Amino acid sequence: MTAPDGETDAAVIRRSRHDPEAFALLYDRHAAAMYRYVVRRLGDGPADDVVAECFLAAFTRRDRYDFSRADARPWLYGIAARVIGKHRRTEVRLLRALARTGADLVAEGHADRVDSRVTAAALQRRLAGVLAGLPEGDREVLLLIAWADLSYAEVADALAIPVGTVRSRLSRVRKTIRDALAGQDPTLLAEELYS
Amino acid sequence: MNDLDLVAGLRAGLPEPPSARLAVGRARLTAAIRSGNKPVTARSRRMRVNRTAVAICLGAVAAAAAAALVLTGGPGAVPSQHLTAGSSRTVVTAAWTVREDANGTVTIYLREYANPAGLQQTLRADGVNAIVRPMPSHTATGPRGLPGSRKLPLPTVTSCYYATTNNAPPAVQRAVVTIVFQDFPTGRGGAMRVATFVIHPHAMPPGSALFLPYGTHSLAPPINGYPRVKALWPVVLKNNTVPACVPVIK
Repeated sequence: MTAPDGETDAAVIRRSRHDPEAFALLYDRHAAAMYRYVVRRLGDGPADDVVAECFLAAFTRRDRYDFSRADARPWLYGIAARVIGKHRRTEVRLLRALARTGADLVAEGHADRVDSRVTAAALQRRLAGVLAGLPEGDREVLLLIAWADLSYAEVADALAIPVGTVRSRLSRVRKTIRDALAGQDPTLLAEELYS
Repeated sequence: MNDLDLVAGLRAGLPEPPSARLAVGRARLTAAIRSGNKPVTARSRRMRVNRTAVAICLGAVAAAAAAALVLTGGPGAVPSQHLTAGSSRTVVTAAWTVREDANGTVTIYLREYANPAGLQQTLRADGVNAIVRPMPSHTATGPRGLPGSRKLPLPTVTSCYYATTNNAPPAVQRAVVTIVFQDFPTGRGGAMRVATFVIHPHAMPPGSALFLPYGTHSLAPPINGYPRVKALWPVVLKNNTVPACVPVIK
C-alpha cells in the first residue's frame, strides 16, 4: 500500500528500523482490515490479542522484511496465518457449531438477535461444515483469497509457497465445495427467509 | 455467483471495528514498542479503562443498528413514503426499501416482487446505474392445459442462467456488492433472517451497471402475509448490455 504522501509500506518499515514508533503507521493502514479478517475467522473474543500479536510479531521481524515488496499486506497476513493457526480449534469449533445448529457465534456478537429459533440459510450451514473439514493449509489459501482479497501471488508470498501450489489447493477446495453443495442452487441466496 | 463468491459472502456482514477499539490496539502496539517489544496485555488498568470506552462505543453502534431496523420497517406493512432521517435517505415501499447512507453506500432490502421500475429509478437516483429485471422463479410453464398433454411432465422454470461474459472482474464484484443478513420479527414471537444487499457505488467502474434480477418465490408459503422473494446476487456488468436469461428447467 502507498499512502497519499507516497510512502510505501516498505518505506515505512525501513524507516521504523531507525524510528521504531513509525511502525504504528503500518497499523493505521492495515489494522481495520486485519481485525475484520480475524473476527471472521475466530470470532470477537480473541481478536484483540491476535491482532496485537500479529503486529508485534511483524515489528520484531521487520529487519527481515523483503523491501522489494512495496505492499506489506501479504507479509502481515502470512504472520496472521501463523497466529490464527494457534487458534485452529476455536475456528473449527465455531464453523462446526454454525454447520450443526445454524447459529453463527461469530455473527451473533454483532447483530441484534431477534429469536433464537432463527437459523442461518441451509447453504451457509453446509458451507461452514465444508470449511471446518478442510485441511488447514487449504482453508488458509481459500480464506486469504475470499476474505482477505489477496491475489494468488500475494497468497503465495504470505504462506511462502509456490503460486502453483496456491492454484492447486484452491482448485481442490473449490471442487470440494461444489461437490458438497451439489443439489443446491448456489445462485439463490436471498430466497429463503426462515421462520 | 460461483462457489468462491459463496465463501466470500459468509460472515460478510460483520461491521468494521470501532475506532475506539483500533485506538486501544494502537496504544498496545506503541506501548510494546516503547517498552522494548514486551507485549502489553489487556489486563492493565489502562486497558480496562479503554475497554470500557470500547463497550460504550459498541453500545452506540448497537443503538444505531436498532434505529436502522425501525427505519427499514422490517417485514411489516409499511406505506409508501419518502423519508429523510439523519444523515441517510431512505425510500420505503411495501415491496422494497432502499437506504442511501451518508458515506454513499446503498442498502437494498427486498420484501416482494413489485414495482421493479420504481426500484430501478430509486437506485439510479442514488448513483447506482441499476438494471432491475424480473426473474422467473418456480414459474410453472409448459404443456398444462393443452390437449393431450395430461401425461406429460410439467417443466418448472426455477431461475435463470446468465452468461458471465459481460461480468466485471471478481475483485470489482466483491468491492461493489456485499450481503448482510438481518433478523426481523414476524410477529407472534417468530423471526426470519433476510439478506440485504449493500452496494458501494463508488467502487463501480465508469460505464458499468448493477444487474439485479429477482422475483417472487411462488412455491414457498408467505411469511406474515408477505410472499418470499428469490433474488440472485447482484452482478456488476461491464456496461449496460444485459445478458440473456436462459431458463433453468427442473
